[in-house]
Amino acid sequence: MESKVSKKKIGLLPKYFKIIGIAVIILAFVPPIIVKSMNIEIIQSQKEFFKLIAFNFFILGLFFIAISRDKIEDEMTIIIRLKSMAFAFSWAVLYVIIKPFVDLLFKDPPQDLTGQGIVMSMLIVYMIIYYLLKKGR
Amino acid sequence: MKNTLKVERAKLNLTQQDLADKIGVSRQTINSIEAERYVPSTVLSIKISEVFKTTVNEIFKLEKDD
Repeated sequence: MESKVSKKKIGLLPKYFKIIGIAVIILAFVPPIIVKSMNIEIIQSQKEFFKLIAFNFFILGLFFIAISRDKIEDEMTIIIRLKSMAFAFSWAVLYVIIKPFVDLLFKDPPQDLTGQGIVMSMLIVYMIIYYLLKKGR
Repeated sequence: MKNTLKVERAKLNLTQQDLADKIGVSRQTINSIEAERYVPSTVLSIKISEVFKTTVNEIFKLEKDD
């Protein structure tokens, strides 16, 4: 059930992309689990490569889940999506500003901000807010 | 914005789900409109008025602070 208005206005992925997203997230954890469980010796550069791949797959999976259609997509869910995105954007701005100071106080040495970390936190915040607003309507 | 959606629905003996199915939205959206937590778009307002065979102004009314 979906109105023509919501179909025309925003380009969301089909509903089955939620399942694809979950599969991609699971896939992200497969290489590290195999390496750990089988005690495979890998060098530092390989470790970094696996970490990069795992993070990218995890972000891609979250992205698929975040922008795929719900069972019922109407104008109210579009507004909820918009509010969640605005919240996630504000979160990212505050995260970038505040994190270095938090790191300075509690971590030694402070960790660098990565694009992956920001995007991942935005997607997670977006999904949490979207879920909460949907439940609270 | 005030609305008489619940009254109109009762007149036709429609449930929130029935109305939601007729206009292609979720039951939660109808619930939010009735509770005045959400103001529907023009398109949705017209769809609702067509179900009740009346005008938009009969169902939705502006309040002083709108």
